[in-house]
Amino acid sequence: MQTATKSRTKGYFGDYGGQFVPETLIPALEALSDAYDALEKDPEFHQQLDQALHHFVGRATPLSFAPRLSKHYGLKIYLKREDLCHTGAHKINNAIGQALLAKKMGKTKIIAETGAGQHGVATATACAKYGLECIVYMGEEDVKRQRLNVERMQLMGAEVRPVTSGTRTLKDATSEAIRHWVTHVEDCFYIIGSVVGPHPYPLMTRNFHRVIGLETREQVLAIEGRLPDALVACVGGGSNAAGFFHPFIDDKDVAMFGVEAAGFGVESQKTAATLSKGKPGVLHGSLSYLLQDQNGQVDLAHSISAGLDYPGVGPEHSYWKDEGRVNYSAATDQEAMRALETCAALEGIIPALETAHAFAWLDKQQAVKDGSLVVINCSGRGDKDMEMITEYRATTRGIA
Amino acid sequence: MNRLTQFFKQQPSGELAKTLFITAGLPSLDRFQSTLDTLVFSGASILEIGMPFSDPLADGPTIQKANELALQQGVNIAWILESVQTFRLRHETPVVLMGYINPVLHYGVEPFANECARVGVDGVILPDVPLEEMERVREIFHNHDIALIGLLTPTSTNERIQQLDTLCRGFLYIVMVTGVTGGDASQYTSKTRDFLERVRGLVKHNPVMAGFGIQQHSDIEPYKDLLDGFIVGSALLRILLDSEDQEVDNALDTFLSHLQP
Repeated sequence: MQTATKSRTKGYFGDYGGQFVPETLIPALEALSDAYDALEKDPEFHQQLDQALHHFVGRATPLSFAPRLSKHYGLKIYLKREDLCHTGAHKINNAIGQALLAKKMGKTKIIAETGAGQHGVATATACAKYGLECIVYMGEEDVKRQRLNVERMQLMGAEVRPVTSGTRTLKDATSEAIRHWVTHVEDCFYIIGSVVGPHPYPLMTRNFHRVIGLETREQVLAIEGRLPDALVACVGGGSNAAGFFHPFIDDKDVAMFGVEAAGFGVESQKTAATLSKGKPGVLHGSLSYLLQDQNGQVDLAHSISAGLDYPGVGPEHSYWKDEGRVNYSAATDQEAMRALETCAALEGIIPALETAHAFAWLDKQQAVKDGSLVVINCSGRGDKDMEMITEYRATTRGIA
Repeated sequence: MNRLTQFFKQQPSGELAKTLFITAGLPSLDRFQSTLDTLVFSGASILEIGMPFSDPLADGPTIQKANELALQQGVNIAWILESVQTFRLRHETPVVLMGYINPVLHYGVEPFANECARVGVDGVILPDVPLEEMERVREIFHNHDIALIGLLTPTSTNERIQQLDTLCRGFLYIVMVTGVTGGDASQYTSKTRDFLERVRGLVKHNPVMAGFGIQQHSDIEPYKDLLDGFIVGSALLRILLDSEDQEVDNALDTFLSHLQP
């Protein structure tokens, strides 16, 4: 019985998480866990990480008041500007953290998976900076959708391997990266790009992103003298949301809203709204909500944003959902695109398509009252999406 | 008594047991039963039937492709259980089901174990359920006299090998390489022998069967003294996947003859 309790609590958030991976990887996960625990308590590691985040990534990122959006929605809206991080999104926080950890563990070969390409670019960047070899697995479909990011990774010396199995998107890129890891576990370090995967990845990745929430807290207290009424973030795997929310999790008066990608609509067959539509299941090493069919086969996800196009979600989000701590909803492709246009026109900020889903919450929400203090995590910038945006606008204009 | 236990009890020492793996529903739904017959008549000691999953993390391209084909044809757990039931009308060969945990969780572990026992399944292999997650399923299977078969890999510590030997039944699956299925024996090195010797020294309760990369009997010959048997999967599936319909039987016969000592 003792074993049962022990095995169920290690790496679990409530009922979610765990280590559902082949035996081959378990010793590597244990070594990773031990190394991470040790470095977590090591002031020198934190000093190096802080230095890199400040001088290389450009942290702290600003907390910008958004006056015209505020007026438009009748709220007091601030944006946490992760879009201003080096490489254009929050992903670099975790990539730098894990690359530094890999270096400390004496690993020289890095692998990563990527959807939109942001995590791939962030990892390629960190590897160039620290002199590490880098291979990025990317679904063939995404390679097409995000050509520019592929070029960026290659320019920084990374090898991009297109994945042609399954749906040819983030899900299959992740499976392929895990297979590579199983085969080269002795000398290679897998930098997972979200709060997914087996323990300790969901915990570690969330902690490397906590800087988002910690800075926000300090900044909002300095500017407004109080905590926000609400936090809003988009959720695919859920890394930006996890890092943003976690430092506020015990502040019961701070409401939290996670926005998933509904694709064509939550009830359609083309959606990525895992928490709204999925059921608990196991994918890529952890137990969490999962889009799956009546036989427990993983369903195809769909979203206009490659970064949210994933049928799973981080286990801690599943826990927060069941606990009722975070309110999860979903925005469609169309709603996200409309919100992106509004933000661009009113604030001069083009958010990433992923991030646009968080902005779409403003159009639909009825949970917070007028004048509330709301912080949106502007997790990435939209430069990488300009082709998609242009194409989408051309198509919809054609229909109208 | 569980057919696996019974089989190993009667197995003459020095003789290698042969487990043949096939993904359920291959080469086609119609020809699955007759292919199982062929495998039994070729001298399979144990049949391992793969339950397809959309995201098989421990498998290489061959089994991935086989999974996709099986899923396209609508193979699911219910179909597989029914197939085992049909097979049992003709054969007493032990049957082991191999599959990833999600479809089993979705079906329900207790109903799955119960059905396995009813139709005549003898063991299960769940490659994404390591020691850490085993407790949620182990007793359920063992209560139904379905052996939960553990996997040992070159990276397994001595302590883990001993724990798996204590907790698992049927046999232990020795993963010959650090990697996924579908490789070949060129991946075996001097470390492979060291690993098998380590396993032999530590395992006290279960027979040990080696798999991953075995394509013919000569691949396993050098390690004969350290094993109770071997498992062939991807190489057999490649015959089924790559041969033209009319050639399958001949190609399969030739392949199976190379698995004889």
